[in-house]
Amino acid sequence: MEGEQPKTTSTGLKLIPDEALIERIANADTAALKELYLRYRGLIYGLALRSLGDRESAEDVAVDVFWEVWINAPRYVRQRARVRTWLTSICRHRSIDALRRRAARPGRQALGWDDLPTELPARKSETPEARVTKNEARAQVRKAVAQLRQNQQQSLGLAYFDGLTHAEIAEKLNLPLGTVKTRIRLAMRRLAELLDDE
Amino acid sequence: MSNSEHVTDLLPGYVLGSLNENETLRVARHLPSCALCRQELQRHWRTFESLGISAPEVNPSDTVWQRIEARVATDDNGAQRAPTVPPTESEQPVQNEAPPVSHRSRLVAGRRSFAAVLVASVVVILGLAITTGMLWLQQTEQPARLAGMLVFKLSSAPQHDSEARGLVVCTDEGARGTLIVKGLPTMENGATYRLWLENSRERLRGPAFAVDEQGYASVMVDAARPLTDFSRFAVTIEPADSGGAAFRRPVLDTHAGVQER
Repeated sequence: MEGEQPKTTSTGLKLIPDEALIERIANADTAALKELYLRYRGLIYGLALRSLGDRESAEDVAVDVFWEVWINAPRYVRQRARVRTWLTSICRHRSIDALRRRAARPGRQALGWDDLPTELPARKSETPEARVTKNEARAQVRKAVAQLRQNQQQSLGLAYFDGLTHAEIAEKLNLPLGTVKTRIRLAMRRLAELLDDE
Repeated sequence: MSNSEHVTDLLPGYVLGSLNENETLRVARHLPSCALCRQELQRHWRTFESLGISAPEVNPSDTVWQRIEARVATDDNGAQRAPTVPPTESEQPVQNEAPPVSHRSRLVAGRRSFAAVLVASVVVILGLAITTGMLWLQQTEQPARLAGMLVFKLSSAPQHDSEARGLVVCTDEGARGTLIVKGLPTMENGATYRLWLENSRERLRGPAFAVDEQGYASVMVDAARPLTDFSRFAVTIEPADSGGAAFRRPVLDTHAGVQER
């Protein structure tokens, strides 16, 4: 049938760029959705787990993220955001929504940047080069974060992973609002410098 | 532009979504006219994106894919999927200039300056009175430009056999607009309608509203950035106990992005 996507084996899908996968998903290709899921499940689940702190909630968010990809793939515009950015953005939103629905949120222990679960073992189909590239990128960011002051890491973590405003962070940490604003501003500027230098 | 007018100090909080509403609006209004701040925003945006990969990857259980697969299988031949929208000439790469992805809805239902906005809305509605009737009859799904304003048409979703219709009216650069709906059934048991604003990067929760006995409502929409930054507007039904966070099947939906004439 004219215009129909040729069938691609699962091996073939692994070679397709993310944007091309999204195009296939937009055409209701569930195999493409699964491939995207396999590529990003660790990142998305890890990010959600970092925000929410429990596996069940993180899995709920992961399901929501890929469901949203399925629904909105037809509207994805590659010029606006890379696929990875799009996915992590959705994940962050869903995680913060889940945090806000939680009644027990005030009692939740805030995680430090290093309070993170075990690394995912490499996918069998992932090339060593891809694995190294991905690990290097993550290592660069974590190294940069580690160079921030602890109080800056803490405030930035609450803003990014918990989605708190400056005012909410100030209340949570019992700090002046101006102090929180300064810490986050300096943290982001320092990270920008460190990551630009890499 | 003097240094005191720049918003560079606010940009880190802006990309994180940590600013209060006034600060967010100040940044959003400043950016279009300041290349320096836009350049700085690019830098913070790259940093923000990097934070997304700072957490280690962790393997979820196999049930996650099973749940996704089951949910996709219930998607009635794609009835819930957004229609494809080809990029238009006006869609510039905005990753480095766009306002931040904010988890928080910055939209309020026109509580501030209510009187002034109400007057403006009445003028808009009266001005559209004649042309609105024409719009209902139009078969095209393309947004229209009327009296220097952009009008997005919302139609009833395919799975809802309904005569309900809606319009979102806004200016090119405006972060304020008006949603007008007709033909929606009145809600019971505390349920309300909710407007959503969406582009390829995010979905923001807009104002909740109720309709009158004729199924009519006019709602002010006040965003942190121009409404033309969004390519989709949708109305959903929100049960009273939903917590307000979930995007459910829309009852009204747009099918096209912004097009300049």
